[in-house]
Amino acid sequence: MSGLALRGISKAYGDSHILRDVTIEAEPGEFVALVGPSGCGKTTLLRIAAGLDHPDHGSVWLGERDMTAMPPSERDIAMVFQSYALYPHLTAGQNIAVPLAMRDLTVWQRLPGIGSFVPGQRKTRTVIQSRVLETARSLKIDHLLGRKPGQMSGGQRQRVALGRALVRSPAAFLMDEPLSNLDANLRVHTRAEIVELHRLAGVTTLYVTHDQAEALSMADRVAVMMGGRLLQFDTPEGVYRNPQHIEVARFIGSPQINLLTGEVDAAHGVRIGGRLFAEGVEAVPGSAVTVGIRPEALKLGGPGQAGLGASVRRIEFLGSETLVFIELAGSGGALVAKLAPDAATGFGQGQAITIAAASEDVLVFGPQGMRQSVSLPMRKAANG
Amino acid sequence: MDSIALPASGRAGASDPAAAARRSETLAGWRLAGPAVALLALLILMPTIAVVTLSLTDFELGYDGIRFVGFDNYIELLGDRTFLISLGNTLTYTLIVTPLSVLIGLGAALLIEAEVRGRALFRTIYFLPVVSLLVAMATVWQYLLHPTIGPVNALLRFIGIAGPNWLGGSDTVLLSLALIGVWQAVGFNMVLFLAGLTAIPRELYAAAEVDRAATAWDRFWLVTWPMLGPTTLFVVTISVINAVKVFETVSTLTQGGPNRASEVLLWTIYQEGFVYLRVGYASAMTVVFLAILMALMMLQYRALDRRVHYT
Repeated sequence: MSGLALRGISKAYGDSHILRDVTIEAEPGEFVALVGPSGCGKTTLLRIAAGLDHPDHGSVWLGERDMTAMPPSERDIAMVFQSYALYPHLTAGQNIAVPLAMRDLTVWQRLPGIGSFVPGQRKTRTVIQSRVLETARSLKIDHLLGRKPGQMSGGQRQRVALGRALVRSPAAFLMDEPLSNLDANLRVHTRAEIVELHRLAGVTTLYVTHDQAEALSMADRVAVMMGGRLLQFDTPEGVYRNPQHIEVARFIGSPQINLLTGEVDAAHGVRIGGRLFAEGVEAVPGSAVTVGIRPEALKLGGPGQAGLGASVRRIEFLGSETLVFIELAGSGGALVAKLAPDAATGFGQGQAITIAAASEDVLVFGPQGMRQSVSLPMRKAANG
Repeated sequence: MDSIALPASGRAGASDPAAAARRSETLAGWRLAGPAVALLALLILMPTIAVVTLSLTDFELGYDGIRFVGFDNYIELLGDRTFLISLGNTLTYTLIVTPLSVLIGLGAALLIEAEVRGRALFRTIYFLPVVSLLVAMATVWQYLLHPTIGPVNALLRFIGIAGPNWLGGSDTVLLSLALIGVWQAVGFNMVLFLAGLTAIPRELYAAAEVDRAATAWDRFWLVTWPMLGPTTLFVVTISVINAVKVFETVSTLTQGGPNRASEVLLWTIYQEGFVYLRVGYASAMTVVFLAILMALMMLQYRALDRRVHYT
């Protein structure tokens, strides 16, 4: 088993820089998700890993092998495409067999018609057939092997595409938004199956997605990309709880993180609307900062309690949780809190409340969006 | 809020609004299709019926009287040496022109598609013969293929080969006409193939590369050729029809000669119908000509259509 490393990758088309000095090293057997909004360069990065695009700078390594100059066919990697890219003229079985036929049969043996007279062809074909059947069984598509892609549903095609990648036990898997064309139910189901397949095969996997929930739930580590840059490469918990950049905080998590603009006072405390909200921030006094609080970390209290004054604008009951949409008094900033349904029963539309958060849940970002560390616990009484 | 009331359904008879709506929809359908149906009947169906009817008579232009002769014209055709030679020559011509123009057209399209530079220029150059007037270009070919002053034979002499009398010898005339036919058809086929090539999803080539189809040859057989299936079927069909309809070059360059060596179907029909004015007999030939074409097309589509459309 070998790891997959992309080191210092840059790529530009004319004046538009698609990738700027991106380095991602996936450990052997690791499942790495590349996540970011569309246009962030994640698919280009994946295509560079596959050898379908070439970087202007940087190198691609599979274990100890430098693959930068290798064509895709020599890299021993398998790729699942967003559109599945199945060969429409071949049956599911033939589609899955393609990588093996290309690897194990000679040019002459592959020739239609004539190929069957070349010695050794039949034996190899039999081996390929049994391998295809084995793979199809593991994906539960062995009953579909005789069908062409046009006669299959989206989910079935997706499985065939997975089968074509799995069949030859590659050194690494590349997946380009393989679930985005499936309906919501099937997506959640297939998500679990891909994780399970990865666990069984233990093959290093790069997985591109624009869905942060997919990235968090599937990956060992998540690489958050934005505008061609790698902003953070960390465990799912790391990018969620400890985002190093405001864009990461904004992109990861649903509903979105609450962001409030504040100011750093002379004592390195963050004030929001004049009220002290966090202390001991590593930022220049007088500079503007942004405070981030996850919706589930917001604590709502009755009027008169410690915290910022606010009012309830709207309540959404979602079954397992309730979202409370809040308007800050004075600034009119909008926030959302995620509560257990029972905890939300006391609140009604228009009600005056106060909001607070535990100091370890407060994330402070500097003017450039970089995370500032908070060294002292936030003061309970916000009387500033 | 008001609730919406649905009138009781299931009432039969003329007063049923659903049935009335269906009728008016059917009527609207016919009204919309009307112009096309009328034109089809007027321009295609009626002339065809007229030809078939005429082929059963002894009608000659300029002579009074028309007599129904049944299948006499067709029986005469079976023993007509000129017609049989003509049939054979047309077959030979088609068998040369179709595969060559399809393969060269495909090759040109692949080469042009593979290289961005000069794409428009090469496309235009290859397409020129299609838009040029063949009757006018025939004189150029007559000069090029002239046995003594023609550049083709001059070139052959240069490398020590005595060139044949291309258009004048009964052994070479059909081949020469076929080469002109290929020259004319390649550009059109190329444009059709170019259109077919741009419709192939790029991701299939990416998938093929990742699937270890390392060489262009492998990727051609794995992706390009099967994905071009519908285009190829169409190009072959059009090429066969055009080859069977060869007329201008024969008419301007050889007049069916020498010694009937370039006698082709349309030329023979033209001679019978417009020179000898035997309209009935020419009509019978036309019917045979149409029957052959239709049989070919049906065979082609029955045999191949299922194998080139994959959904």
